[in-house]
Amino acid sequence: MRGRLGLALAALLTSASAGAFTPPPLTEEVTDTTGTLRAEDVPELAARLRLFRTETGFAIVVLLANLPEGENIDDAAYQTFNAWKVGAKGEDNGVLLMIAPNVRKIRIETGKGTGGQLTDLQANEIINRDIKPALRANDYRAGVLAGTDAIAHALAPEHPLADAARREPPRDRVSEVPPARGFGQQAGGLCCTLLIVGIILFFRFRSGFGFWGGGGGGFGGWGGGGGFGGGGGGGGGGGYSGGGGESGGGGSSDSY
Amino acid sequence: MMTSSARPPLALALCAVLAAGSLLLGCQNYDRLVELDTTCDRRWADMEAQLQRRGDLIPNLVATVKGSAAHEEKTLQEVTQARARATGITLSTEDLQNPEKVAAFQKAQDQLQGSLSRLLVSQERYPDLKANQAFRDLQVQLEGTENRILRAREQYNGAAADYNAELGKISGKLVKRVSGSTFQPRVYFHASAESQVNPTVKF
Repeated sequence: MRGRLGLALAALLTSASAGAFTPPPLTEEVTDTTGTLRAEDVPELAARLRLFRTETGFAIVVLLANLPEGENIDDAAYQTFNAWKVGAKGEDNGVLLMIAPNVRKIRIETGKGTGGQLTDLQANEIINRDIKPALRANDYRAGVLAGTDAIAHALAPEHPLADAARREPPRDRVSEVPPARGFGQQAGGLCCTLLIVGIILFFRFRSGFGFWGGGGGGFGGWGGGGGFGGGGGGGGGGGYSGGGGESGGGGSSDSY
Repeated sequence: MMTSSARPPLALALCAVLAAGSLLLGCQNYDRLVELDTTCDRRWADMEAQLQRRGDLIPNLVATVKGSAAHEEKTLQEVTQARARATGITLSTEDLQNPEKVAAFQKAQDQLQGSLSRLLVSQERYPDLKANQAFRDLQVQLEGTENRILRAREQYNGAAADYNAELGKISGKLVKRVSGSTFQPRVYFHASAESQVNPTVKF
């Protein structure tokens, strides 16, 4: 009797949180069911994220999907995250960037294991600083690019993909007064910057060549759509689809 | 002759096998219950951690609001008192099987959440506060924490439902009886009316 009541209650509880949104099947790192991104942008953005995942282990995935009436983006993103199991099992090191163009909402949903690197506050800042302006200008590609770069920067600052997000210092550090610098130090800093830019360009070029150039062949294998869900699928140990990652509801959301 | 003398040992052997089998099944069932019980404990610890985080953010929030919105003395007091009440009640694993204790705990947390959302809504009246970066940061963190609490509660309820369902099965009841009454059904947490409406604030 108790047990049955428990089951009924559980069914009630889960149906209350389920709503009308159903996560689309996971095909690659960037999924756009709305056709907002240009077809050629999707594999390009996905390739960057795949590179990042294989090299750092952190899984960043993007979903553009319209929300049904009355559906909350927080619930939809949470559901999608856990349906896709973004990130590796046990590490829960995945991040989902979800954009709902029809209601103009953004959410960054973080895996339980990324709370240290990417706090709710940082997620909010990325939304406001990197994503919102581009989406308001109707440039979704730029928004996704800047957003994922900034997320990458938070997760693995040393990775080349993250360098793109270094254009602007994070807001919380702006208020600090920088230590005074002599000319020599400034020159040193300049040299350092030039060196870093050089390295970035080198990596960019290399990765661009290897991944975008060779992308066609790689994607051929995914044509079936279902071939991706085998779990732990793309090397490096960083699980992705079926990777087992779990979200505890971390992250931030906002409208644009 | 041979068959009649061989029969009793065969029956005995069968009985032994059956007994061993049911013992094994019983053990498995016991293990399953322990496993589900542990999952519940883990989920509960997650939820406690999030509630704790909310509790930790509140003094900062109160201090920040105090600076810019002196007129909110009453609201601030309410929040501080609700926080003290909420953090004053902790639940042990046994308490989680006690509906009254869970209800009291939940009431205190709901009151805290209610007074907190009233405080966050009151910021509309204070342009200084709205523009205050520290306040906005706290607000983002509190929103995030509320969402985490919501998910932790869902996950705890899910784990408790699995556990209760296993306990409700005939085999579960049997294990419960044989092993004494260490296994008790767990009480669910329900979303309060106030918490259904998230304190969303537009900047």
